[in-house]
Amino acid sequence: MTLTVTCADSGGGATRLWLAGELDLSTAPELDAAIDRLVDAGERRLLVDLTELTFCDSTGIAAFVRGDNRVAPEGGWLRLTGATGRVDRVLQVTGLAEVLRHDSGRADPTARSAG
Amino acid sequence: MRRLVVVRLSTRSGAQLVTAADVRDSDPGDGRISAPRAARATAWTAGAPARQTPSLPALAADREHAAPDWSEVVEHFREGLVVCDARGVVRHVSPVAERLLPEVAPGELLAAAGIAALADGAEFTHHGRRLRARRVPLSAARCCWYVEDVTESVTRADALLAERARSAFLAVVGEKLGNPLHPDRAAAAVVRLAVPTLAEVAVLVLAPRSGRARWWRAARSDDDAPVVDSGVLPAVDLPAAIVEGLDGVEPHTLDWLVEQAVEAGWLPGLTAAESCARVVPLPGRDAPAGVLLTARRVDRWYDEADVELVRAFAARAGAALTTALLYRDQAEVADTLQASLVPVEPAEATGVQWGTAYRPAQAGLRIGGDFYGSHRLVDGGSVFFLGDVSGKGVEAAVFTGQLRQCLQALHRVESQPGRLLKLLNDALLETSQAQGQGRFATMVLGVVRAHREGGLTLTMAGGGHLPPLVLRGSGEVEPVPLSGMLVGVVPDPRIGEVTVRLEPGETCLLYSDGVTEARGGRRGNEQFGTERLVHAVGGCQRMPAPALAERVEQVTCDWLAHGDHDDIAVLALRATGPVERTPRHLHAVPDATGAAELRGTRP
Repeated sequence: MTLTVTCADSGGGATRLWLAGELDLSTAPELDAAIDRLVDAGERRLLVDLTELTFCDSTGIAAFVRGDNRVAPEGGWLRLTGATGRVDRVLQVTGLAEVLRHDSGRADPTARSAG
Repeated sequence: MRRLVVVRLSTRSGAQLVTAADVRDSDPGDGRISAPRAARATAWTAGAPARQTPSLPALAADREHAAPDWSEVVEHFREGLVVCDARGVVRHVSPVAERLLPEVAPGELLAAAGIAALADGAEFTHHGRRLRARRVPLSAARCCWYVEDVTESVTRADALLAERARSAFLAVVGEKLGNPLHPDRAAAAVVRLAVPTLAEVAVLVLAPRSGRARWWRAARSDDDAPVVDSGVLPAVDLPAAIVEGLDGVEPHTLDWLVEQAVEAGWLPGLTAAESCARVVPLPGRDAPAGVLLTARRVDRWYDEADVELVRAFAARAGAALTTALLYRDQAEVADTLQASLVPVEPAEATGVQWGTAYRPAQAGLRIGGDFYGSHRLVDGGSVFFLGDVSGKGVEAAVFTGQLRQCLQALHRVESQPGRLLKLLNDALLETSQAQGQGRFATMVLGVVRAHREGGLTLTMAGGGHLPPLVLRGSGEVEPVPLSGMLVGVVPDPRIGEVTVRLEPGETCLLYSDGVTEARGGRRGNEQFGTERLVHAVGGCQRMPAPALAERVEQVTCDWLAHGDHDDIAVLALRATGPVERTPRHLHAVPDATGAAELRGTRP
């Protein structure tokens, strides 16, 4: 089970992370570390692209929540985009899809659609 | 000089002559090897006496000036020489022999000197010196005794052997006490190892806890294996020397200690008059872990090296005991925490048959991130829940404990599932934000109420967890359309709520993602998935709830390709029928409770 994390400045003041592979107990620390590096470097807006992610368990969910919690106090955000198949289903079941949905049409995605 | 060397070599060969000859008779193989030596030795004994031996008594005559002065040479031998004639009368005693064997006088029979231990090849103690003697036959049936004082070399060898024995002993001790996980076993091992090397009787007294001191004793009678016993003493009854030792002082009042210990029956087989004892503290973390009393007979008095050995032993024993005690303390803490964290079986509820299965990923800990449970409500219904907290192991278990505590309190103020889950969300959000690291839970939380006419109504709220399944009376399986957001992440989560009606014999099944995400199958990496779960429970409508829960656990574990898996939790609620319920109640509880039950069910 492998995970690759690639990141690049996606413009609009956000950094985009591409996840490919499987996100679980054994690979989540890699995502945690990648997020930590970006936040330590001053990044506050992280857009995580899940198009190539084939698996995500509760540990992965925890990594997303943890990342959002890290940047939220400073006005930042972590949002998810591109989830399909099983990953999308996990995000739907846990309700995280609503919490961390990236709405490209809106400038500030921190306005949550929860409720 | 050269000749002297030759002589020394020759005397050695001469000494071996007897042995070689003996061996040759019984062992031809050895005889071949020893034959040349024998020949050489014979050549010497045949040749030398012609020149030397007859001259020995007459050396003073100084006949042969060209030859070395043999008496002078012989005087400087390390060995003393006693030459006897054919009748055994002493003819010559060299100065060294005079000093070593003062009883031997020239002109008298050697036997009259009364040195019983003097024999060929013998090593014996004489006037406090260790002597080694050998007898070499000379010509004309005479013989010569060579007597060497080996006290120094024996002492050195003994010291070396003793040091080796001590090292070997400590190595064994280190190995035997290497990794003790149980303090009682470590304590018993300490006293058993101390006997017989350090003591005839060894008593270990552990530092008292709550005014009571536990002790272990190993004692040995004769050469039998040591017998170990143990017990408890009030701390106030401990001898002063032991108390001193527990304070970390090596006590000096030892004679008195031996007397008191013997009187108290601590030292079986030893008497106060002929025993000696040492008391050494066993080093612990802050204060000594205990005290070791070693006692043995005075003929094996504890000299400086012995005391050092006892101390070295005590250091190892102390380390082992401290480790074992530390481990016990940690195990106690873990057991206590664990007991408070393992899921509690659901409380009995009217009309509900519960079934549960629980298999934590870290089986050794018996705790994990999955949880389930139920609480009875005052109106006769029950709150039930099943869920999964993020993370694994102890951390997850602790968060689970917090969650369960929250629910335990909150269900008393709110019994409507959706609102109760929101309250829980707020409580956990506060906890997890205070601790950082984004902890959260996914769960299903419901309230179940029994109908008078049989069947159950379940109202369930979804907290981002896998939707439950309902096993209908027809054997069909329906997923419950329940959605919602995970608990403990956002302040105002969307929480779905669904009400399900179960007829008697129908079952609602709650499960954690350890079931559907179990990896296995033919390729070993395939998830078990909801479809297989639906297939596995479909048609099992006759199964009692405990059997159904067990079946889910079983098919999941059968699916797993490798031993490792996520936590697995299953909670099943089956509606019992009214027909089988009421008569049973009247039968089993005929008086007050049964009547109350009947009253309660009337409108």
